[in-house]
Amino acid sequence: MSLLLVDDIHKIFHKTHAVRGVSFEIRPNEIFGLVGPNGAGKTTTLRMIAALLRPSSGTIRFDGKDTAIDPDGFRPYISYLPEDAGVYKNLTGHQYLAFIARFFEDREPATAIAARGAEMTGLGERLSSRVSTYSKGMTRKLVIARALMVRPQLAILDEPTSGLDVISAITVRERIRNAADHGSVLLSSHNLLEVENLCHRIAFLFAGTIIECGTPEELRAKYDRKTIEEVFLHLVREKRPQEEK
Amino acid sequence: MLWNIVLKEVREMLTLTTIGTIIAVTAIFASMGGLVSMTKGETTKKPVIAVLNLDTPGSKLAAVVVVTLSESCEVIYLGTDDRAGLKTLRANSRGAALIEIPAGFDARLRSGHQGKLGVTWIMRGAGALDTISSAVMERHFLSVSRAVSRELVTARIGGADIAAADVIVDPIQRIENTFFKEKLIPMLSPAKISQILAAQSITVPIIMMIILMLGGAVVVSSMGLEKENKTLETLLTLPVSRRTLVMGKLLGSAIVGILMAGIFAIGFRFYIQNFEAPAESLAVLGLDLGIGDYILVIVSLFASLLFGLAFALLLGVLARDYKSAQMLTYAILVLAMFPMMIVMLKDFDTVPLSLQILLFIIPFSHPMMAMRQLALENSGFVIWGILYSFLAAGLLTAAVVRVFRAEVLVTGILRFQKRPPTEDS
Repeated sequence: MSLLLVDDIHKIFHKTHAVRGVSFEIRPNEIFGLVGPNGAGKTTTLRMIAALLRPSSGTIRFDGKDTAIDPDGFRPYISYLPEDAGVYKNLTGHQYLAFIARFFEDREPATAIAARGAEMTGLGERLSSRVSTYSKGMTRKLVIARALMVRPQLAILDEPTSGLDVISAITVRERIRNAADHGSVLLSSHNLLEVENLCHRIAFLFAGTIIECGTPEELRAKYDRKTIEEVFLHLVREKRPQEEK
Repeated sequence: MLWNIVLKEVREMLTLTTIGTIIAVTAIFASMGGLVSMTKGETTKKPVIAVLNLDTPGSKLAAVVVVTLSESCEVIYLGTDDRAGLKTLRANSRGAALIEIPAGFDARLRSGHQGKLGVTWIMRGAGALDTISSAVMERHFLSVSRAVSRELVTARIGGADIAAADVIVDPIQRIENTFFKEKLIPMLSPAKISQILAAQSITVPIIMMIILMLGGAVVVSSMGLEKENKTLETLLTLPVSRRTLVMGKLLGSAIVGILMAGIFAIGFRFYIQNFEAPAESLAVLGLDLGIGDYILVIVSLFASLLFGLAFALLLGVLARDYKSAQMLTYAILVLAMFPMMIVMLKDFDTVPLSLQILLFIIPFSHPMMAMRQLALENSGFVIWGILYSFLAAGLLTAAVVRVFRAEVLVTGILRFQKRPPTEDS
């Protein structure tokens, strides 16, 4: 039984066919990686899954239900972290976490959710300061904690560790692993080492189409490469000349 | 959910900088009010003058001039030395003019020639308010002229009958009544009635403009900031309905806008009270408002504000960032300026039908016209205006909710989606 079933989705913006028949499934408690070069359609796909955009055709089913029919009913179960997510600058870190937590208080007291988020950030006393005084890394830690503190059934994370130093990135990866105890994670990242270490399965997206999907072990074995990065390079080089034709 | 969004909006928009700015503007208006009040005080004070009487001692007409001026002015020098008179006058901070009654003043008038009075003004500044004492003196010169006329007429007609002399000097007294909108207002000309109503006609439009300017700017900026700070995508994926999101933004902005306008209104009150007619004079005219009337004005203001904020939110959707959002605020102001200019110059009933339709369509017109219409007991017009404004605000809010459901907020491309089929279909 899959938690999320993406079935032949397309997205057309005017004359641009950004996503061309993408299909995959995410199983419960699975960390699923979506990788691809810039402009491959990753963010558009994630936005469609987060019900921010409607597919031009095809369906996305969460727990068997079409998300396009009742997006309001679907949103309580997901958490979406955009690549360039920002924070309300005039709020303090604590106020921001409390603001988000209150949307989920039907399942757990907002104070408990916010307290968990505060602990996840590792920012300590700085959470009492306005977000406008935070560095880029601190802001990123805050938004990652925001996304994971609500323990979503599906966390959609776009480049979660971008802008973080090595130690913070390791901590965040640990948080993502822990998040899989409560639900599934859909992860998009350009850091292929991170994807290889974290994800149970990986899909390669190229020019709006999934060109390969499997576990890291399966993919390495199939293409006889030592790392997922090498598999990625091989696939992209194989596809680029075809695209140019 | 709703109050969570409202609280966030208030916290995000009500910063020390915004409060500081509005307090500064308030202080400017309050000090302007103080200046106007001080100037009004100047007009009620007796002007300080020096009188140089060079006419023959015992000259009766010269004496009439001196007595009349002494009744209406504070004469700090009365003598024949022009240097001493000027020196005394200049030494006094309120000294306004040196009046010279020339030699032969009496004889000249009695021989049928026009008399002449020399006036040397003390000008202390070139500002409009600096020259107020000379404007006040003009009135007193008229009194001097009439007193001299009365004296000359009395002398001609035999001396005793002062009342008859007054009739010759000022033979006609007008008794004015004005029929205005089904009401006969006794003892007042249209100009005077318009003057009495003017302040009441200005207060509500200006407060309306301020609330719209501040509230509208808050809403548009809120959307601009969501885009600039990249918080919008996160907000749109939270488990909250688009309707609640829109209502929360509108309510939060309304609270901030009304709070800021409230602070501003304190300063504006100091300013405008100098121009308002006292409540008693409106009551005498039968144009005073009751509590029910004021409630209708407030409801009318609220309905228009809702429309204005929904319109601002719609504009905010189009804003790319905070800066472009600020520019879009002007669109709301233009829409409010149009009825404001018309309402301040003309009554609804006296403008052409095309303008009447336009005024009625723009919800901002209704609170601007409400006070005058209620003073004229035309509450039906105000109630229809309120109902229309609520309807327009409701329709616009529904349109904003629809835009929030569309992809435009994420993609920037306005294209509405078809309602998805139900599971059954």
